Amino acid sequence: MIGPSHPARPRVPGARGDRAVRLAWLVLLLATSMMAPPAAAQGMRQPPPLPTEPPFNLSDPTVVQAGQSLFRQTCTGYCHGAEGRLSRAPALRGREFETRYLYQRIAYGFPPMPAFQTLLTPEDIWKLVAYIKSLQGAKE
Amino acid sequence: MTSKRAWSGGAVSTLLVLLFLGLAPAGAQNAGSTRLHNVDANDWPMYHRTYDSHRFSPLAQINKSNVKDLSVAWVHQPGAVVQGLESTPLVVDGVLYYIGSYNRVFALDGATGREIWHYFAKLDPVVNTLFFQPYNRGVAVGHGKVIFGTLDGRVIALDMKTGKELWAVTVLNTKKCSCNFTGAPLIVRDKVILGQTSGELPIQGKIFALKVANGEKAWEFNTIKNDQKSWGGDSGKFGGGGGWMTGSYDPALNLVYWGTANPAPDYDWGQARPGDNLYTSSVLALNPDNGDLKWYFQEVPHDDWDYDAGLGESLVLDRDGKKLLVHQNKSGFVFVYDRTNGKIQNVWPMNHVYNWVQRVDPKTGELIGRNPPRLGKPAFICPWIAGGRSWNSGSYSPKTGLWYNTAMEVCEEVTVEKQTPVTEPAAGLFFGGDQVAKHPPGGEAYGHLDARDPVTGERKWSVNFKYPPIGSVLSTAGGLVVHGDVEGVVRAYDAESGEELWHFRTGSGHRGGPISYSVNGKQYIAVPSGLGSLVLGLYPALWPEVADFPPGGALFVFTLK
Repeated sequence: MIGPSHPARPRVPGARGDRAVRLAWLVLLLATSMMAPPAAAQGMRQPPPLPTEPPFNLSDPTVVQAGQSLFRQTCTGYCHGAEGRLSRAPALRGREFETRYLYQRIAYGFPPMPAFQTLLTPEDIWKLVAYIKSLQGAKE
Repeated sequence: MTSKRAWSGGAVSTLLVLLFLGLAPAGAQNAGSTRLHNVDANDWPMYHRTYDSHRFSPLAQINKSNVKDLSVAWVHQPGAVVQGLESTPLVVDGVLYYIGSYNRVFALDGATGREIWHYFAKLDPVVNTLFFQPYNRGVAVGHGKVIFGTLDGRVIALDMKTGKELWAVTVLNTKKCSCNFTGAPLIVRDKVILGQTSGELPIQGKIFALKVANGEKAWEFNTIKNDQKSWGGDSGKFGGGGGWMTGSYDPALNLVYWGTANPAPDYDWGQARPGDNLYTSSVLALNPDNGDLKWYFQEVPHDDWDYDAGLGESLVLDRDGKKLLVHQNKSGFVFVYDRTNGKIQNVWPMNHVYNWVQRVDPKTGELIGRNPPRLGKPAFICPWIAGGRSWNSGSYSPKTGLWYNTAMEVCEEVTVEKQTPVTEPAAGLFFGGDQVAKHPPGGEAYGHLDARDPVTGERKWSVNFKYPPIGSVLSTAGGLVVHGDVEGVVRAYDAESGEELWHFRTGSGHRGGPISYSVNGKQYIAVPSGLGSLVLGLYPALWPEVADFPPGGALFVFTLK
């Protein structure tokens, strides 16, 4: 016998055997590794656990404001443009993004976008998510 | 007389013995570096080709009369194109060495482009978390080695012939400092000198010298002076600085000239870093043997704009019996020094549009009428954070006496914001504000390539560009100036008149350095093409279409049919 035939693995809290989520994860990882250049692929980290639900209400104005401040400090001008306006990196203003996707993209990055998972706390990443989501209704 | 002759004979014998015992081994040890002191006309053996940083090729087979017949000899693709192709290739004895994104190094047959070897650095995953990545501006060659700094804070030496790793040393704790190496090292005799990134990070940036033989650290120079007058409170701990681009060298004076980067945070909300913040935004004259500071000049005391002195070339040139150093600050002002002592000889503006100061005193270098952005109301500042020029280099032709150099006439709106430096678990960006590009008052932003007297600034000709150019310049004894633009067109100009003589569309914009070399009597011009760069991220605010300009990475090599 090579491995346990009985599924004795501990259950991951929050996973609840949701195959669809795990499948989506696999697809995302696969897509990322296929798109990333070889050297980056060599350096791929083990994915951290899925982000849990945000610890605060993402539409709370104080959270959004904290996110705006963080957004400015993490190089908007060179990257996504002031207030998420058009830049060389994708414009974030006036666009709809799925919440979890935003979190993952900030945490893991995508070359040349840095991965912020070791630089920012999960709370800070959620604040950025809150700010970026606040831009989706912006007209200009 | 007899005794004198005997003494002379003895002296000669002694000299011979000394030569044999002392200098001969030293000479053998420096065999690789001789090529750097007396550069063969066919070669391009260091970042700026020669220690004087002229970026001038003495080759003239390709010249004004036949450049129209230039055609592609071969193309090489580095395979990784994230942030384009920013480097300047090197050539020694017909072999071309260059580096692409993610520290991919290639040795190619200069005549055919056939690969001789490649080396892809195995990088720590921390690289994916950094701001300064994955580009690299160049390698150094000498003593039979190819040496480069890595994105994860190491310096690696390869066997020039085989590409096999000879040594690799960790110099920076990149996981902690978020800093790394992106500039080309400079080999001076038995040492290799390079500086780190850190201008936007709450750390202390340094310049390092390692022994070429084994990578052992010979000295380091901290660009953050340990002095409360210069850095009030604990601001020096987070002072940034560093020296991320390549310096120049005067063998006669035995001085290396190295520019340093801006202080962190980039913008001061008030008492963020009290003092003049030495030695940031300065030019240093260092003894390459031990790192001792011979002289320095701080071009921007207490830099409030991110006007680095760490970029571009330091031209070593002699005129009217004076030993000069011409260095452009990121503010767009060109500082001319007596390179023996750092005394200012002249200061002139490369840019037409500026308001960060009213003027700079051409006799003392003093900044007059400073206009710093401050906390509160957004400030309108020219030139923008990318500079009057970015880190790309100009080229000086001793044949015409002209310096061919680019400029960006772009302004910005700066919003200063108080920020707490983050150093745990790793250093976070420390800008102290944000900025967005703006057109200058009463006109459109633009860029230009000028032919100027490097000492007086007198302009002989100019070519304007809609999108400010960010590629380095090459000049040749064939009377040519070669330069590529952001839209992906490389052109050859008449060095005397600025008339366009030839152009070729490479398909992606230009950020690297074109060079010229010769193999078996045939001259080539190598042009790195491939749009990328952090600076380019600032363009779409003014020109939305730039967001869609194709990235790329390819080395085009041209020759006569």
